[in-house]
Amino acid sequence: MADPECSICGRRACYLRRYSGQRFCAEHFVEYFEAKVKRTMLRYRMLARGERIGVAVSGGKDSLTLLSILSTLAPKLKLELQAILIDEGIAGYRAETVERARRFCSELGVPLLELSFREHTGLSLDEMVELSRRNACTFCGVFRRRLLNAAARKLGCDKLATGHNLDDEVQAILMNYLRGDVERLLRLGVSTVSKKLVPRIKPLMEMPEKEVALYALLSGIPASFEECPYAGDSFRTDVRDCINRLEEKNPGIKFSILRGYQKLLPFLESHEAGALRRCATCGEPSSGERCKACLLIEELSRSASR
Amino acid sequence: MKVKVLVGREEREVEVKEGASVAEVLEALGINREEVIVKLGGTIVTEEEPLEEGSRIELIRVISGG
Repeated sequence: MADPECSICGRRACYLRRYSGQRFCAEHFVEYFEAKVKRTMLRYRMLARGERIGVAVSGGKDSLTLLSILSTLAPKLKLELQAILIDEGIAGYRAETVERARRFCSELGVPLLELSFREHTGLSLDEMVELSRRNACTFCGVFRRRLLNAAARKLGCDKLATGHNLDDEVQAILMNYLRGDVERLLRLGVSTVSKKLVPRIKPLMEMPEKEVALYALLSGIPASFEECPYAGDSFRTDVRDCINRLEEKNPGIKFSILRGYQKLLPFLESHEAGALRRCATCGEPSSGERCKACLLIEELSRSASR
Repeated sequence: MKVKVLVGREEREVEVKEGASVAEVLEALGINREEVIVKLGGTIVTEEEPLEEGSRIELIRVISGG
């Protein structure tokens, strides 16, 4: 059997995009990837000239790829980039990824603001998990979102860019379907529901995780490929495995899930429960009377005093 | 034929039929192709790449999770 060839130039292929049947060599894959991310940003009108963009970075492949692509666009669009890193406090995992993020930001000349769970809640994620029976992902998701939004708002960012890829998006959609959580399902696809929430953009939302990883490897982005030690326990992991099994047999199903959700969104928007109010304790946006972050902090301090 | 598969620091040997592709090796190991990038001789290849007796492939997990 002959070596698989690039559909564009005939050189040896390094990637088969199974959902379209196209094969790419390294050079044409990088070209395709960058063009598609730019197309996605245009299609959803993610960026406007002269904006200040907060970029959530972790040191992983998604966020560093995002930062790299945005930094190539910044001079032309007169964008001002500000990287924001949240150190959750995960022993044996986070220190190395933080160092990678610092080095890459400094290489690109992007200022970096570092915040930590410990500094803002009094506890690291490891300590939260020890105190509670809850899954680490519950704390991580709630506090990370909270700190990122507050930092982007204080820094005067017009948008907050995150490295969520197609797999992340599709997992979140299915998780909310499976839990019957219509409010979260709605919030996932709406960029601004409150003046206190900095509008979020996800430029990699149409790029499969495997393509992001391949781009990072081929472009020499110094990203970490380590898996979060808490990832194995989560509901998200079960949903991810299930979607990947489906995608292997039915290439393109991840895009079908995303497109189906986008078609449903206009119907969901008429759902009144999607509106956010202010948390009675901290004043941050909340779907209930008090926000999830305040409820979790209270729960943790009860556990700590026992 | 036998091929060697390096996953992280662990190397395994897998028995597959003559002329098997990377995809067939992944299937034999129960690894989803969505979750790995494969290197053969230091070069990234597609899952269609044909292998030979004694080929050694390296798998890079693409899932960061969390």
